[in-house]
Amino acid sequence: MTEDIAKGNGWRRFFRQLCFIAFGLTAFFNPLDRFNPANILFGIVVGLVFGSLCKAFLSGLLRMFNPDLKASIGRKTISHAVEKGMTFMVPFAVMALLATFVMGWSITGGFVSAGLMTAAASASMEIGKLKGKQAMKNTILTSAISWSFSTLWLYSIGFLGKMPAYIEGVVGLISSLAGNFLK
Amino acid sequence: MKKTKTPIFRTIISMMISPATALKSAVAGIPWFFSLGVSALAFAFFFMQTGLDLYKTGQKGLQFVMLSAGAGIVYGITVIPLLGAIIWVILKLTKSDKSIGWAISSFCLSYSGALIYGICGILFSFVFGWKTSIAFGVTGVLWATGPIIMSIREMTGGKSTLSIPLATIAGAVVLFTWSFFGKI
Repeated sequence: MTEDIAKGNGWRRFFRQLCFIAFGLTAFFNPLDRFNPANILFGIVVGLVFGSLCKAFLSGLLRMFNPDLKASIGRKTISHAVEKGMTFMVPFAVMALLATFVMGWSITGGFVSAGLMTAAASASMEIGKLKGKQAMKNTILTSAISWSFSTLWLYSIGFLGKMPAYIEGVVGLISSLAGNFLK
Repeated sequence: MKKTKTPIFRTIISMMISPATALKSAVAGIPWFFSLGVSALAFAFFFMQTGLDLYKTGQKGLQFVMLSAGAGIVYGITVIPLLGAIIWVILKLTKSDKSIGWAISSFCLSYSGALIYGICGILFSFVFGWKTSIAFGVTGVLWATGPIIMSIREMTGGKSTLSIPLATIAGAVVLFTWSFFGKI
């Protein structure tokens, strides 16, 4: 069982990262300037950082609340189970991309929230499979973590949305100063 | 012989919160018309919220709101079972042991969360005058993706390889068709 869950973990990690990149890209997408490099780069970085934090919190807290499982199957296996659960975000990431780039929607926070809730429920289910029975504490724990992260995402995006413009301004200022010095 | 009754309200909540458990235990005992009723009402409320949002912005009249609710009912009893049936046909090729009735019923019941969100959305729309089609309607429909993944997993004997792409297609079809309706 533990070997089974480790199989394909690299691909799952890759898909999880792609999902969060997609969420980041859709969150910072500007329909008036579709290919703005600052928005794209910032979206990728924020998505990756957020995704890594979310995964670390889910794995860490599940390990903390399931010491028996950690002792019997090892910490890495719990991490693999969480990674497996997080692949369930793929439909939400694809739909967020379609909604933003094909249908022209600008609000995609709902996709992140629903995706995180589904991923967390699936992670809890995977842990239950490893234990041999589903535990309510894991369902509540993963739901609370995903709710916290989706709230964090919804609130921080409004604030972080201003950052690409600031970055562009700073880069512009530095390049003009550098240009003046080099003259 | 004593007939076991499936608690209807508990099934709806269970399909929203813990679909894997509900699919294993409750779906087989649910009458088909109840499952159809869940998706019909879920889409009636969802489409009605779209109509109400357009009415509030002055783009459409009250008649359109009623028409939206009607279109939602038709959508819920035709498109969702059809999606379930198409996916059942695809999975039949992979030797799924579930019946077409189970597939349609589980697909329709997957919109239990959308029904709860729909009821809340209608309340907020009427009481507070909010525009709710995105915040409540779309969120509810997105919520159905989890139970749909679980349904497909059940049909494939616990494999996620097919459930994720098929659920993505099903979710995208619903979003696209709703978006098309909003533009009419």
